[in-house]
Amino acid sequence: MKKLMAALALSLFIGGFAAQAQDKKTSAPSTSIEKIDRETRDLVKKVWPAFVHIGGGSGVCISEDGYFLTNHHVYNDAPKGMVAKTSVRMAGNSRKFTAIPVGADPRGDIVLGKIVLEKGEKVPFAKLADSEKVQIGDLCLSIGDPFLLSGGGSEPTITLGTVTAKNRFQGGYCDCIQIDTAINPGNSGGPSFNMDGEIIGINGRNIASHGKRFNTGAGYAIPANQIRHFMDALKAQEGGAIVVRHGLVSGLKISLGAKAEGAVVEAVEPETEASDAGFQAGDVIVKMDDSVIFNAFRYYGVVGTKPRGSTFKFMVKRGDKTVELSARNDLPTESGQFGTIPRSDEEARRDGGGGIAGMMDPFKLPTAKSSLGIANGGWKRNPDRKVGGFIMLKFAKVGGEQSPLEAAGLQVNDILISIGGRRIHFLCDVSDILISVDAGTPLLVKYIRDGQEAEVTVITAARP
Amino acid sequence: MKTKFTTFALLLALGLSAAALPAQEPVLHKELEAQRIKVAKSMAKFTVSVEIDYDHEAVRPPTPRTPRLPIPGMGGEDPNDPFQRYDIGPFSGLIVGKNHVLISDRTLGDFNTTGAGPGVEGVTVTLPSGDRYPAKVVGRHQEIDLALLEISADLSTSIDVAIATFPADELKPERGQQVFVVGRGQNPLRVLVNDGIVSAIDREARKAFQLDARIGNATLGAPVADNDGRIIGMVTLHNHETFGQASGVSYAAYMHEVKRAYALMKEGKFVERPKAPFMGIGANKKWPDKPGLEVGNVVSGSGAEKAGIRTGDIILKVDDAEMNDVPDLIAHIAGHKVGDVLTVKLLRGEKEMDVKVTLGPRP
Repeated sequence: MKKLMAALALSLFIGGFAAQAQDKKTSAPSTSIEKIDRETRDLVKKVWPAFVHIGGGSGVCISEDGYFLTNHHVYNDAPKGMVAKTSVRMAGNSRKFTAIPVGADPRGDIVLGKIVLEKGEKVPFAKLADSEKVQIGDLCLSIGDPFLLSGGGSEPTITLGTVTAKNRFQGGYCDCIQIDTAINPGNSGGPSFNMDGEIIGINGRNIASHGKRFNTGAGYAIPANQIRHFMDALKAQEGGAIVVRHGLVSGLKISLGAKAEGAVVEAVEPETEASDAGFQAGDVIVKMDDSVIFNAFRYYGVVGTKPRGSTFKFMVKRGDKTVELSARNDLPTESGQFGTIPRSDEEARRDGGGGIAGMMDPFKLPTAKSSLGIANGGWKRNPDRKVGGFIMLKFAKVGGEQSPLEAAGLQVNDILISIGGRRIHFLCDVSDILISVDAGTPLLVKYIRDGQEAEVTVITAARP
Repeated sequence: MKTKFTTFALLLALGLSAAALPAQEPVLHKELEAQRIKVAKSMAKFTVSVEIDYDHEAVRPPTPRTPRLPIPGMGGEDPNDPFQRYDIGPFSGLIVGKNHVLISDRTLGDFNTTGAGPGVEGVTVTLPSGDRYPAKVVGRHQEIDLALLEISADLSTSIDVAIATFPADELKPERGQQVFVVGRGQNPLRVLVNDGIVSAIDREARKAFQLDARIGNATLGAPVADNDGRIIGMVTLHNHETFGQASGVSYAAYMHEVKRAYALMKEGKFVERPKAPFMGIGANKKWPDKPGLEVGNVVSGSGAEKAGIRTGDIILKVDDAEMNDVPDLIAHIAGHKVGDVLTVKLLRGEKEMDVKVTLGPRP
C-alpha cells in the first residue's frame, strides 16, 4: 500500500513538474519526457555519421578503417553481378568514397565492403551489439535511405521503433529480428541500433502492403551475432573468392511434418556427416549450441547462423535418453543440387508480389569468370570423406574446345582434391574459385589416380 | 482463533492485491501518455476537419492509387475490394486567421489554377463544435503544398477554437526529436494523435523536415508540435504514390515557411510548384567496371534529344563531375534548375565529344 502511495505521489509530483516545464523553454531537460527526448537526439548524433549511402540502398561502417556492412541484394544490384568497386557517401559528408567488396554472404544477404581510405585516415563507425541480449520490447533506432529521399545528398532517414519479435525464420533470413521501425525500399542494408548505439542488425526486408512496397509495421533485420559468426570468413575472402556459403548437416533429413517439441530426424544417410556424428532416425533435436530447437524450422534457422563447415553441439532426445552430438554444417545450401532450405510463408509471399525491401533476388550469386570444363552432373562425391574431393565422371567442352582439365591430362575416375590450394568437396567450391579467376590463369590441381596423389597445372578457359 | 483467521484473511487479501498490481508502476509511460493528451488538448483548438467534394466523373481524385498487383488470396482481384477504393478525406486544417484555414494543397487536386481546381464541387470546414461552413479557396502555394481557405465565420470569437500563432523565430527541430501530429479525421469532434521522431531535417530544399509518424489521409494538413506543444510544422508535401499511407515516411513544412506562404496567399497569390529540372534520358550502369553511364533511352522533345544525345552513348562527365553511378547523375541534375545548360562529355563508339544540354521542365 505504501509503495502504491509513493508511486502515486511521485507521479503527481512529476505531473506538476511537467506543467511547469512548459514555461521554461531553453532550460536543461528536467522532466523524464524531456530527458528521453534528449537521449534520443544524443543517440542520433552518435550513430548517424556512421551511415553509408550505397547504390539503391543503405549501409553502415563498423570500423574506423572503413569496413562496412550492407545487404547482398544492395551491393549486387548490377546486371553483371558483383561490382569490383562502387562509390559510396557517408551521412553528413558530401565526399564520394570508393568502396570495394571484401566478402559476400548471398544467402544471409550480407556483403562486407571496405571504403578505400588514405593512409591513417579514419571514418565514423558503430560497433556490433551482442544481439543475443536483444529482448522483445526493446527500443530500436533504424537508419536508412527509404525511397532514396536523400536524392544523392547525404541526409539519411532515422526512425524509432520497437523490437517486436526475435529468431524469426524466413529461409535466408534464418534467425532475424523483427522490428516495427519504418523499413521501406531503400532502407535495405541500413543498421538498426539499440539504445547504446550498437548495431543489433542489418535491415533487409519488410512486410509490404497489398502489392505495394510500403512498410506495414514489420521489418526484418539480420542479427549482429550471425554477422559476427561470418565475419572472419568474410574478411578472409578479401581479393579472393568473395562468396561465403551457408551449410546444412549432410545426410540429416529433418521431418517438416512431424509434431514434436523439437526437430525430428526422419532419416540419416550412411557415409555422411550426420552418420559420422552418430545421428539416428527418430532422434529429436532439442538444442543446438545455446539455442532451444522447438521445431524443424528452428533447426534450419540456427544451422544458418554460422558459415559452412562450422561445428554445432546438438542435444538430442533419443527415447528416454538425452544424447549430446557434435556435427558440422558441411553441405552447401546455395547450389540447387544439394541441400535445400524450406521456404517460409513470408518468402512465398515475397515471390508472390512484394515484400523484400530491395529489388533483386538476394541469393543471386556472382557468375564465374572462367571455366575448367566439368560437365553438369559429371562428378560425384568421394565416398572416402577423410580424403574428400570429388570423382570426375565426365568432362565438358568449353566454347568448342577440349575441357581444360582433360587437356591438362586428367582422366575419368580421377579424384580432384584441391584447386589453387583450396580443398574442394562440392562443385560449388570450384565455382567459388572461378568467380575470382580470369580466363588464362594457371591453377594447381591436386588429384588422386589409382591411390597415388599427383598434381598438374591447368589453364582456365574463357566462359563462352 | 477468530483473530488468527482475520489476520490470515487480511494477509491473503493484501497478498492478492499485491499480486494484482504490476511489479512496478509504469510512471514514465503514464507521464508520456499525459504528455500526449496535453499536447493533443492544446492543439485541438487549432485544428479543424475539412471535407472536399469531388465530381468523380469529371476528375481524377487527388490521391491516385498506384496499380496493385493482384495477389491470390491477398485482395486486389476484386474491383469492389475496400482496399481498392480512393481515400478522399476528410483532411485536417490549421486555423491561422479569424476566417482563414490552411490545408494541404494536393487535397484539392494537382491543378495549376488559383482557387479550387476543376472537379472540386465544394469545400466544407467543420469546427470542433460540429458547426459546418462552406469554404472558398483564396490562395495556393504549391511549392510547399499549402492552400488557404476562407470561411464566413469569425473564428476569433468562437470558444472552442483558437487561432494558431506563428513563432517569432525559426524553430529548427533536431534529428531524433519527439514530435506529435494532431489532426481530425472522420469524426470532426475528436482529434487524432500520432507521434514519432524527426527523421531528417533537410528535405525539399530545406523547406521541410521528415518525420516517422504514420501519416494517413486524415492527418494531411495537421500541425506538428514539439514536446512543449509549440507548432513547428504542418504535414504537407506528402506523396502517396512514393510514400504510401502510414509507411512511416512523411514530410512537414517548417512553420516559418508556412508563415511566408500564408502572407503571400492572403494577398491572393498563386505560387506554382516549381518544375523539376529534366534532361530527358534514361541511363543505366551497364558495365560495372568501366566509367560512365549508358544512355538507355532519350525522351523525344527533351533537352537531351535537342542536344543530339543518342541511345547507346556513354555519359562520362557532366560539367567536370564524373558519372559512375545513376545517383551521380540524379544528384547533379537535382542541383540545377530549369533553363540551366549542362556540358555533357559523351563517348560514342570510340569518339569522345562534348554537347550542351538545356534542362527543361519535368513533364
